[in-house]
Amino acid sequence: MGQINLDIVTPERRVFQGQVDMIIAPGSEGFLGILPSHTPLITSLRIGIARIKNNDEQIKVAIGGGFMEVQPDKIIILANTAELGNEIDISRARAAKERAEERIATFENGGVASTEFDLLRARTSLQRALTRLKAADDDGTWRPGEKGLEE
Amino acid sequence: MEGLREIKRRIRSIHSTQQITRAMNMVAAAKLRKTQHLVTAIEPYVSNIEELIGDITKANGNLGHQFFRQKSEPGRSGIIVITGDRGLTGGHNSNIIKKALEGGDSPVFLCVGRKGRDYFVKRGYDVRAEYIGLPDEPGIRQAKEISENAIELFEGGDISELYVAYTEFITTVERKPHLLRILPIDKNIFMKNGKAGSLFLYEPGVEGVLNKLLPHYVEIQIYRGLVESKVSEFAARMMAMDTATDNADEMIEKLTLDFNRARQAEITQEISEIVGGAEALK
Repeated sequence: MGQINLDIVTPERRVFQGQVDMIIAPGSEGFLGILPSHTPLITSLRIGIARIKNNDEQIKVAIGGGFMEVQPDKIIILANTAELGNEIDISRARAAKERAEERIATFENGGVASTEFDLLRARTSLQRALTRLKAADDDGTWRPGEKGLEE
Repeated sequence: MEGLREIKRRIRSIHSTQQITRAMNMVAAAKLRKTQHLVTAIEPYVSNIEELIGDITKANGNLGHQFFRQKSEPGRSGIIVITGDRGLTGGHNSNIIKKALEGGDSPVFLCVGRKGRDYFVKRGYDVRAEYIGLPDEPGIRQAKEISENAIELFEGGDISELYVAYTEFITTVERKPHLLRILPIDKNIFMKNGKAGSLFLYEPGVEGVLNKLLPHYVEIQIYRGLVESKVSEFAARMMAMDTATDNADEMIEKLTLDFNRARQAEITQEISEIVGGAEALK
């Protein structure tokens, strides 16, 4: 089976470029698996994990929403943010997750000066943090002996 | 001629100013080096998103999205002016303010940076929003906030056109102020770029995609303005402080010359006084 050229770019950098067998992307209407010679397609992406399959390898990419343009010979993903699984700073993602959870909790307890909008924002950052943890193969629960996570 | 002590005091004062300008020059140079990559990093993203919009407009002849639509009666324009928070950047801030003022009659301003805010508020212009304290490396998040406010004004009919006034970073010594229209979006430019004939599937529908894509495009244009302006600001400060340091050198040199001359004159005078005194005693 052939391969297709994949390009993942964010405003800050090019995250991935190369030939791949397949990509499974988090489309706004559900996950989409794209193989070479796919019908031209344009879709928005939601926050979630994209899986790139290449030979027997799988690379996970945490996508923070964006767009995907599929053409028979190439796929372009324009992501607001994108990080390869092995680049993700787990402790930072955890801190972000805890911060977001805290903010949601204060809101639900009728906390100070929070608006609907802030809640929405906190929920989005929670989602993003969880996605990043998942892409880094970390389920967010505390495990003793942190080092084991990186292997 | 000034007294010796006075000249010495001035040399010392210029010297300490020079130390400050030299430090500022080095700080600006370091920040420039650190942020410069952002200007080039955004290019592939911009060309890809423009290609994407091009493909969509080309494949769907009559798109009636309101971001494409020219308002039937021209109203006020909204201008996002991107200046720095601080001065000592040569003409950086005043050049961009001058550029922004070209943007039509009684515009609405959204000011990024303290310098621009102060200028427009002091002169009684209609300033609807201000964003002070932009970080050295602007992120999409800041651009998003600004674009949401601007789009609100556009959709609410307060403004019929949206511009961004920013400084393009070409090289360290070459920077150019621009006044770029970002709304309504000129569909014709994209029509030319799009590849013809590709029929796309859309999820969730053409309208659904455009409703997300076009605001994001506005956001990206603002983000690019922020990044270009910030990097330009560092370059401008670096150059201005470099010149200031050189000028200080020149002044110190001249004053040192004056100082030596004055000292010599004093010695000559003393000698002639002594000689004169000795003569008188004979």
